[in-house]
Amino acid sequence: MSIIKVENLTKIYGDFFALNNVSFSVEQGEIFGFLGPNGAGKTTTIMILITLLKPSKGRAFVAGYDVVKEPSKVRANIGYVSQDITVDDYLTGRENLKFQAHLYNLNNENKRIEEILNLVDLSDRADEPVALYSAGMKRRLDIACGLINTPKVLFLDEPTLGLDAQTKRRIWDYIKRLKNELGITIFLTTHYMEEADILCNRVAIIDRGEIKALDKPSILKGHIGDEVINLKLEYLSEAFMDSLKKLQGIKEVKFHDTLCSIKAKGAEGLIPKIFELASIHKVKVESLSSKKPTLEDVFLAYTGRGLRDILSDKEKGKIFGKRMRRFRY
Amino acid sequence: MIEGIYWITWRELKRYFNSKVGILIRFIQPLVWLGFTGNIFSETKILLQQVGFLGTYLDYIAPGVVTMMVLFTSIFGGMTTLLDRRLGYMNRILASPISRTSIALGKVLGISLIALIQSGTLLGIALFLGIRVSTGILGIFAIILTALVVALGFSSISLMVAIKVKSHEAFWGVVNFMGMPLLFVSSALFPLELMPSWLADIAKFNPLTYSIDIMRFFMAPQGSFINLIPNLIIIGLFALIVVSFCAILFNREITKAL
Repeated sequence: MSIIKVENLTKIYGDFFALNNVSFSVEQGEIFGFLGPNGAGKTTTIMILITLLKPSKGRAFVAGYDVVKEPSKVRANIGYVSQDITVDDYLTGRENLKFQAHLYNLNNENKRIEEILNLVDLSDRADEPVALYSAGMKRRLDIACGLINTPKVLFLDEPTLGLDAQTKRRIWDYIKRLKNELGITIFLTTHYMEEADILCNRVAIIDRGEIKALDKPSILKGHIGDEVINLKLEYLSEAFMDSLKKLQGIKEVKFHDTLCSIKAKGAEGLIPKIFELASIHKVKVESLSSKKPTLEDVFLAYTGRGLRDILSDKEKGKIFGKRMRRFRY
Repeated sequence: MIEGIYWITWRELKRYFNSKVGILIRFIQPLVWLGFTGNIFSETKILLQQVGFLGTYLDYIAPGVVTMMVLFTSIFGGMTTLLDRRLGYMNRILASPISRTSIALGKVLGISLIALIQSGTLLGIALFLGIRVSTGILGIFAIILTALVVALGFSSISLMVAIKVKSHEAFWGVVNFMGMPLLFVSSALFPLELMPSWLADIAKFNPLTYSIDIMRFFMAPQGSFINLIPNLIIIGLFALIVVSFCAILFNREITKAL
């Protein structure tokens, strides 16, 4: 069953298409990722799905309810963690959760609060003011707040933005636990390729308000095709080159002096065979590297631009920044 | 709805009690007024007697200073809502099923209770400094109740400003611009009878003039309570209208992005 269903969603500001005819669905229990640069339409999509923004055109259903017609029912069934860390510094961790619990009209919230605190490993610091927490702890509390009502879908907008590598990995572990142990469906947005790759069952690549590709990360990478093996040889050998080309799985061999670039499928299995051939032909291999396609390559292939190019796309960013501020402030 | 209001108010009060420095700072200005201004202008006693007030100037401005506390605490109170929106916390609240009206009313009630605590404490200090409330404990209760009604009105105004302007600079600009004139153009510091008539006329449109007269009556009764009935109606209506308007405006503005 699809727990999120989005049909031809469009959001227009003036003449700017923040979202253009976006359709997709998210299955129960999966981690679904929206991958795209800043200003691609990720937050706009989340804002519509959590009922804080109305679409210009199209429909969206979350947990079976229409986000425009039945916003209260949608709200009761979701958790939302925004890209800014939004916990109240003046309250303790426990008080933050208590307040959150009552926003959802939960009774006997104390037991639930203990459970959640345990889940994010904050039990021992729960009675300290949040102002004393580290950024990682605040983020965990933030996610905990989003979980208080045992939501059917948890929306995470850029969950690891601005965190260091270690903290980022810990947050990833928590997110995986939510899915594996609690079976919560998670909709997350990110502009980190690695994050989408590690966490998501399926990824939609979104750019300029349109979905460019949507599939499992492995399949997306598979579309890009082949792995590349780079060899540096001591000297060039015609015989070695010919026998390389005959190896099964090798698609293309190119030589530039003593550098050899091989496009292949299944590089792990091929590397030992390449060494075997090299020893038969008495060719010395000076170095070898193999590279698998990354989501970044996928992104490039689908959008024709690198993430960084878009990030420096100042004009669009400015326009978009203005739009976004409207519902942030 | 009631529960929603309760918990929004709960958070406002928690935040207040958890910021101990903030609590103390807010007492400085009113205490300066009581301590210095009350004495500096003590010779105006003769002027006050001319218009029928028989106490000292300190007695005269005590309700004014309590009102000052109520006014400034409530009129600056919209700040937390502005911060909530800025920091994205408001979105977290809005993404939950709580009713929008109860957010507005909870905020107004929270700010008003803080104003009440502040002004109640200040009144306690004033009593300690020798100011008399000749109607006794019931009078103190009536003064505090009046303070609550005023606070409800002005915290609603503050919340409306906060929800409308969206930036700190504009917020402080607007509330500061309102605060001082509201205080000066009222009977807080000087009787209307001693003001130029055009200023006294303006002061008659200021709800504070009416609430201060009520407070002053309970501190040092002059004349009959019957005379205060119009005052009660005016501040009651003022609070009711402003609170309702605030709830409507909040609902509209907060969903405007929708």
